[in-house]
Amino acid sequence: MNVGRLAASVYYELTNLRYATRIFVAHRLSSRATYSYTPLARTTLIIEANTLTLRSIAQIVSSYTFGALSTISLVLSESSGQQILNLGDGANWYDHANFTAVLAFAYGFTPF
Amino acid sequence: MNVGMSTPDPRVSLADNAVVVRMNHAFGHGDRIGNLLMSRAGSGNHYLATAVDGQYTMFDERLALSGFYARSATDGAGAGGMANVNLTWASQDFQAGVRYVDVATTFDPQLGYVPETGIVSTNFFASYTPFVANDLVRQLFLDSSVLRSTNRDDTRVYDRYNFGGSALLMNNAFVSLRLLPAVEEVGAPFKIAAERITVPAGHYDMMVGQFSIDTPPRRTLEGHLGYTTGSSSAGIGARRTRASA
Repeated sequence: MNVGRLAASVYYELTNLRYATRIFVAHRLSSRATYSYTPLARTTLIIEANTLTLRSIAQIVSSYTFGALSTISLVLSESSGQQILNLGDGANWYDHANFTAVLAFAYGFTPF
Repeated sequence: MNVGMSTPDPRVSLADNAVVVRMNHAFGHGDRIGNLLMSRAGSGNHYLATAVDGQYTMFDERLALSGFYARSATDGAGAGGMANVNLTWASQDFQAGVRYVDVATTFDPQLGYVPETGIVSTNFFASYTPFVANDLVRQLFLDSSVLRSTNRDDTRVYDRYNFGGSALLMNNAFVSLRLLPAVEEVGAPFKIAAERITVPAGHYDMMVGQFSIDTPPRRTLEGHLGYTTGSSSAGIGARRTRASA
C-alpha cells in the first residue's frame, strides 16, 4: 500500500506440513510500515511472527542520511521465541522476550 | 524477512571482531577485477579469507565470462580453496549460461561464500523471454535450469531441476507457474520446525509445484497470491498458501 509518505505491506503465509502421521499447521505474518518525513529521513515499523519456527520480532528503525551518505540510525528491537541459545527448549513464539536498542552512526566520505 | 534471526551454530558471535575489505576496479564495458579480504578474531580461532574475482565481456557485453578464486585459513584447521567460473549469454529474447563451483573439503566458509564444502556443482540455465504484445500478454518468460552437485568422489548430493513459465500481462499484472523436481541425498539427519521434526538421512525424490499472481505494481494497493505444494517419496508433504498486500 502506497499512500503519500506512508508505504506499508503485510504478508501472511499458511503452511500445512505433513510428516508421517503428524500434521503441523503454521502461520507466518510479516508486516512493515515506512513513513518518510523527507526522502532521507524515515521511520520503519516491522512486526514478524512465525509459528513454524516459533519466533517473532518487533522492530522500529529510524534513520537520517546526510552529507556524503553519512547515516545516523536508532534501532529498537524486541524478539521472542526460540533463538539460537534456546533452540528446541519447547518455548512458544511469544516466550523469552528480549529487548535491544542500538544507536549507530556511519560517516560517509569520498576522496574524489 | 526474518530480521534478527540466524541459523544455529552461526560460528560468529557479537564478541568477535570482523573486518571486510573490498576493492574493485571497473574498466568499462562490464570488465572488472577485484579483491576481497575477510578476517575474524575473537571467541574462536583466528580466521582469514581472501579472494580475487573478475569479469570479461565480449559481443557488446552479451557474452560474459566471470569467476573468482578464494582461499581460507583458520588457526588449527589448515587452508582450503574454492573456485567459481560463469559463462553467460544475454540478449533481448534469449539468455543462457553455465556455472561451475568447486569447493575443497578444507575450505572454511564461516563468513559466507558457500553453505556446503567438499562439493562440485554445475548449473545450466536458459530462458526465452519474447515480447508478445497481444491484447492480453505483454511478455512471456519461459525458463529452465539443471543444478547438479556431487561430492568429490562423484556421488550425488542433489539434482535440482526448474521448469517455469510466467507472463507479464498488458496491465502489468504477473502470473507464474513453476515445477521443481529434485533428487536429494541427505547425508546426515537434520531438524526443522524449531527442532520438532527430524528429517532422517536418506534418498528423497521431490516434486514441488508453485503458482502465483501479482497485481500491477506502483498502485495505491498492490497484492500477491501464491500457492505451493510439494511432496517427497519419504512421506513428507507440504502445502503453503501466501498472500500479501
